[in-house]
Amino acid sequence: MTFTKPSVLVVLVSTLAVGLGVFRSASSQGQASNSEVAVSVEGPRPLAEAAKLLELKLGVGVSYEDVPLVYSGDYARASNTSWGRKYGDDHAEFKAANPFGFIGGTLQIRFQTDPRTRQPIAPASRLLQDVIDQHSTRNNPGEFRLATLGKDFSIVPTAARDRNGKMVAVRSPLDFPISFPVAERTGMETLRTICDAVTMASGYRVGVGGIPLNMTRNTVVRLGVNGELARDVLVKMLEGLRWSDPRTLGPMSKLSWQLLYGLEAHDIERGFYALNLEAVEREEPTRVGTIRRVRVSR
Amino acid sequence: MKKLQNLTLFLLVSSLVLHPVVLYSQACQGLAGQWTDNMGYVYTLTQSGTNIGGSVTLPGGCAQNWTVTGTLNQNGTYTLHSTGTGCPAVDSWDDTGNALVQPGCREGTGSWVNSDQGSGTYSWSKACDVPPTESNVFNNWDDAGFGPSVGVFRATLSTGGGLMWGGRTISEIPAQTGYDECKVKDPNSPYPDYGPGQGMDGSSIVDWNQQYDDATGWLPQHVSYYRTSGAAPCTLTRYQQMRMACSSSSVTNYKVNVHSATINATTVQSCRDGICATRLY
Repeated sequence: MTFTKPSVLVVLVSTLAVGLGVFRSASSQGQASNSEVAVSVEGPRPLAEAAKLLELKLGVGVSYEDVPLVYSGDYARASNTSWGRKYGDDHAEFKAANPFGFIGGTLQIRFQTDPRTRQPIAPASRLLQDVIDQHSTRNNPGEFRLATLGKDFSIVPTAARDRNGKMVAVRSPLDFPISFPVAERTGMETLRTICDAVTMASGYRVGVGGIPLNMTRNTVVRLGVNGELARDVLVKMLEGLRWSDPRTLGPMSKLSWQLLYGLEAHDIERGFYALNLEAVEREEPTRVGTIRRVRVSR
Repeated sequence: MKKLQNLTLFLLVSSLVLHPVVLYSQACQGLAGQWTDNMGYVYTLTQSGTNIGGSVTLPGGCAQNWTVTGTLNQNGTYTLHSTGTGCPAVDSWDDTGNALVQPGCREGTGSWVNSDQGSGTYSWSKACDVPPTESNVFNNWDDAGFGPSVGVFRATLSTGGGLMWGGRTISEIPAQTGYDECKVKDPNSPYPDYGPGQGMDGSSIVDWNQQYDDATGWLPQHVSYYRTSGAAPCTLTRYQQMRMACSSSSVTNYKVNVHSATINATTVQSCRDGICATRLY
């Protein structure tokens, strides 16, 4: 591969540093060329950040479900992690606090894009599986698999170290069957119902995280399930949401989720999950050669 | 000049039935503005509550404007009575309109009957108007909904120029990147970075008081987490682009609001467009 006209765009995401290099490759002069995008992700949850970045590039939902980390070796003071030191260089208060958190890791992602659409050329499933494989190869915490959900995907945990440091199989909270009665509920009520049912079924404490407030307040869905996988129920809910006022005709944003694991008061014994919903966005080229983000409608 | 063909007197009989309040608050309210129908009649209407006034310019070279009066009904239907002298061969005509088409409220259909008992149907449309601005007050803490740390603000759209916005659909998207200080202080947090504008995906219908509600603030679980993680005190600042639907596929921006939400040790604060509310929580 020959790179010409290299340029580097550095995007700083508050949670971590992401280096995004865009390279243009030409197989012969005068022909349309593909661009190669090189993405470097480093942070407490590199696979979660990779999922958001690839969601933006692919324009499909790429959800992510954290691995429950209970092994003390998967945590460290920020100054003892690579991402924490770099982040601390840009955030003095964080550096001074030197908090206890995930050891995290790094991912390097490269893919070619169509010069007209800016979309990756490789199939989405291959790109995502490559990232998951690399996460494993780099010995970043947790093992994951790719779940296909129609045209969308979710990155799902399969293994993690137990308290003794031994790798054991784990299930995402969304891999447990749940039940609740049929009713028409608001988006927010339905999310709370799902989280309560998942907590009961999985034994993990799962709560509503970051969500679009006005959207979940003004939408309803009629839903009830009996022993269905929580992930499938969540998909049903997101597909079934409709504006509670039938004349609110605006398009509804497509949502994906990030089920993130956190610690209360930095205590490994007080882990919990937050179910976060976020709008799916995709990149779109403009007439003047820039890129803009647009929300994907459901 | 179909509306002016017959000379027989027509007596308007209003047979409209009031619909339930729920429809009253949702149908299109705004008849003010300049409407052009499929026959070339140009109505320039003003509105005060449900009373309509204005004039209509007749096609066909008649230089004289006719006077229009009318009433908007609770279900969004309306009646207009046009009278004048000069070019036309009738004394008046009446338009009975169906509720305007949502979400844009700028297209409609109806029927007409003139004083000569001639009758027909019409369709009309106008440009997409949007409010010049909106004001904003704190309304309540959402104790029974999202939780006691979320503020609900009530926005009132400006009726400058006599334009009214009931029944129109408003929506929000991020105007620009904001700053989530809580997530910046605690990148291990299981909650998203709201700085880029996550969470701004709402849409709702303006009521006939020109108002809609907007919930903003940290959820109780966020407050609890960021206090125990040591990130608090911290503030989230976001920029909200307000938009109004012109049709089911197009919107027009009309205002940017700055939102902020702060977690302190014993209080929370929510602000929208410079209006803030603080409570012990």
